[in-house]
Amino acid sequence: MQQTVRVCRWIRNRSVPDLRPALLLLVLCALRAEAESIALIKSYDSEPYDAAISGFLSSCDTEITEYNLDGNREGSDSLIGSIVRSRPRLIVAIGVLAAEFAKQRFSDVPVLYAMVPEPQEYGLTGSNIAGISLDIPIERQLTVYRSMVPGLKSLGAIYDPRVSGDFIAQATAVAERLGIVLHTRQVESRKQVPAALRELLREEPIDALWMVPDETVLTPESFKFLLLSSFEHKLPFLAASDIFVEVGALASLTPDYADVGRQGCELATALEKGEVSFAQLDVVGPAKVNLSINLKTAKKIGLNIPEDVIAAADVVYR
Amino acid sequence: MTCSVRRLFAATAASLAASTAAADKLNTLIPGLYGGDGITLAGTSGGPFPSHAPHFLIDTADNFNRLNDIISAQVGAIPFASAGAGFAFRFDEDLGTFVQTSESFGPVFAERAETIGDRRFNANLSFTFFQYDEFLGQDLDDLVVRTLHDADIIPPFDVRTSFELDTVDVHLNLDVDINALNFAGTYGVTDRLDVGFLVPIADVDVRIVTHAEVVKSPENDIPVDVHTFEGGPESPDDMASGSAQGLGDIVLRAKYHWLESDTNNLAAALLVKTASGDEEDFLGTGDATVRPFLIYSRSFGAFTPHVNLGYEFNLDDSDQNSLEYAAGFDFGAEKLTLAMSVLGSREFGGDGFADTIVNGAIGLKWNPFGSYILTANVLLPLNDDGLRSDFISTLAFERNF
Repeated sequence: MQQTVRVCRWIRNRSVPDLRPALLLLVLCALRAEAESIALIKSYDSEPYDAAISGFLSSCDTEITEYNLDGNREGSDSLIGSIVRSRPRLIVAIGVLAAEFAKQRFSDVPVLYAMVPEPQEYGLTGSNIAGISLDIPIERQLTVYRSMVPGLKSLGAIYDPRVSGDFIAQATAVAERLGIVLHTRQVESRKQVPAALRELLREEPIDALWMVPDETVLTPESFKFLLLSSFEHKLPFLAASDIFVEVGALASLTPDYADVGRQGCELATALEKGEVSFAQLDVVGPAKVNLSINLKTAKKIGLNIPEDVIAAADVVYR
Repeated sequence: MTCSVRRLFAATAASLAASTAAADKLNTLIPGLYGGDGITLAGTSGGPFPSHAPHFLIDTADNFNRLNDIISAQVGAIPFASAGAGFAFRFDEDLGTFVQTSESFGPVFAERAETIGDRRFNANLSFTFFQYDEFLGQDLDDLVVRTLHDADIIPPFDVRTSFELDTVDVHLNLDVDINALNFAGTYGVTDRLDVGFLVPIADVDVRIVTHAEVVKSPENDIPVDVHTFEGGPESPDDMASGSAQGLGDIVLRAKYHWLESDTNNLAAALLVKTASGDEEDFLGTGDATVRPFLIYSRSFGAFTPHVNLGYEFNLDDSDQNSLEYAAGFDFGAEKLTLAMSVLGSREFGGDGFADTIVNGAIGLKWNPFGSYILTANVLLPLNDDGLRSDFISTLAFERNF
């Protein structure tokens, strides 16, 4: 559960005949370390979280103690006791569960969260809490997609207003600023997706299909339908995750999880040095996003992606 | 099994043409028992009964004489393995995005409606091995065939009376071992159209040991044994064996993913079986068939039920046209798919032998890494009709490109 990442290694490595001074130093060192360590709390074991933690640990040269909630939203008594005893100067929370747990249980300790989508939805606001959202700014997404699809003037999207209503409202405004018209159709269940898509394709002159992260709309079955329809109409299909690009969507933007960790370390350092305040920081987006492109799909739909965009892509499926 | 595989590979490497280990074709083994002209006992002369050379014949309509046809018909019918290529995901609320999850790799022998995708290729190498165990519900270790006496010794002729009612019961111990190495490929011509082939290389071993015994009829009141093998031209015991290796019936298949909604999928498919296998060596059915069929599948997450329904036209013998069906499901867990199907065939114009064949298929598909899939499947008989194996095993290795 608890792992001290760095201890006073020089003491352990010393070969002294009388161990008492070394033991005394070790205790003092440990007390000092506990009082000044950063507590890094992980929601549960997961590959993206582990990538972010690796990024954080490899970037930060400070004492960090790791804790794992193991998916227990409330946290076990022993874990809470361990954190309390360590008197952390900063809590870094990885994932929604850990962020909510830290905010509720340790309101007097500054909290920096990372790997959290839509943090405002979870009430992760306050005078001593800030963090890195997993949300890629809409403007950034549309700008990248426009560079990839020359002449992109209109986008089509299907969404459930209960799930993605706010997102679509923001996206419509951002797209308008960028000179792109966002044509949408609403659905309330996945069964309505085929009809909504047919209507969208029939009635609107869309240049590309945009998959918003809406769990009502996207199921394995509806994805296949959307993908095949995009092929048949030779439309770029801009996906919500790299996993869709690998199986046929044209492109996606995904946060670089390891870089989110690195960014977290950078912000933690700046906060501790007083270079930035929690109020100033509030919520920031991921600094690095990975662009995935499927060139087989581009060829299939007859799209020529500019060479500089391909060169800048992080993952290219050929 | 290892030996059989080695032999199959050797057979494949040597020639795709059929080669028979024994000089005679395998379908001559059973009719050739006891000289091939019935069973002749010791001749009789004198005594209170007419002098004659007792001769017992197998009724031409008997099950025994149909064994050849049925072995051939069933050995050649290697099921076409379904190509698996799935993709599944779920929305991870904590990450605010979609993550890939377990996928179902589809059924083993039945079909689901989805095609594998434009310009994708699925290569499948499978090994099917089994031994026949029962014929019309009778154990092949002791299959009893009754031979009848000539009816023209005692008047009135053509009517059996007295010792003419004696029979000779032939106890057969029949072993038919089949090992088939199958090469199959499926290619996505478009996103909705797949074409595929299956080339079986089969190794068939047949061994027959027989023992005949005279059964005196209760209506034969002659106090001495009129019928006996002692001193006769034939032994009560006989045996025959042979083996053949070679190309089986090549199967070609096309599937068009016709209708698709968010969860329901319908495909139309065509299966063409050539008569490339040597029927006389039990390597093929001897008949070319064409089977148009419909495939319906519906997904409930990782659970995908399927129904296949088609009609097989036998181009050489329309009496063997048959309704072909399959129903079942596949369920995908992490890197593992469980597939269960009922596979059935019903000949409406059949002759009463092997007209209705129903098997259950239970299989596991495992994705150890990458796009490799290992499959283990067993076919179990669900009825007694025809020549059946208690357990038809298939191991397969496939890869999607």
